[in-house]
Amino acid sequence: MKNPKILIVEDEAIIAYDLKMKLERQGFAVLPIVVTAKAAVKAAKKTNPDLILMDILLKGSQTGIDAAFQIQALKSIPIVFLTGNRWLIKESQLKKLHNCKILNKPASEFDILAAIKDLLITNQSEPN
Amino acid sequence: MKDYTNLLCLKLQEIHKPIEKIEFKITMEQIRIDLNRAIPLGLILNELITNALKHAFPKKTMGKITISIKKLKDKPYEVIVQDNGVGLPADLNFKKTDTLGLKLINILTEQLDGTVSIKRLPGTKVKITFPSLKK
Repeated sequence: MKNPKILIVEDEAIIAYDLKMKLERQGFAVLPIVVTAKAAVKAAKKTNPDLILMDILLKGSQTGIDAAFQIQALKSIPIVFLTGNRWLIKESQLKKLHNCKILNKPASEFDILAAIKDLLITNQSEPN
Repeated sequence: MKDYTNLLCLKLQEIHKPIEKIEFKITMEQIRIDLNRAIPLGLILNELITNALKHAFPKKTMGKITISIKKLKDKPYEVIVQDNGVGLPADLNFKKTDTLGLKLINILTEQLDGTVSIKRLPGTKVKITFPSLKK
């Protein structure tokens, strides 16, 4: 896959731009950053990202998990959750989502890239 | 925000010690802003004041930096940082710049759902407005 498209969902502007810069340096195509769950679902529909980097506590009433369910109901897009509050994700919920990983914030560039590559490879090998 | 701004100016001036003839004028009420917006606002002020201290007075002449935060009833917050220095370079496009400080100001203002406007007077006047209630 050449220059996979990544959607960043993150409401802390500096963190979002830091992620964007790191990913672009690695050759990923970063889509315009979105800050709410609603905007994330809309962007996923419209721009067809290859993978989503998702914060959990977002601006607005819905969380990143809400967005993940809505997105994966439509498309099988792998998701990397980034959160400082691991307890926000229940194991039972996680089982209902596919192709996803959770990283604790702050995550190292190495861990983020490893998670992304891992999910992109898995997703490619089982097309659906 | 008032105490914070006073302290911030003092500390930033300490860092940029060579410029000792800069006078600060801070006009604002004791404004309390919720943490989610106080953090980006604090970072924006830091960038704006640092810019003024670092770039506005290259000849270390006398200078003045005015900072004000206003919140009128039913109106958005209005933050102004103004200096009477040399002004921004004529070829600088504030919205499309790669310098980290200005980029940060732009993205943090976006986080506040706000807008940035810049006037090239003699000197520079930066005005940031952002809504008072989170949607």
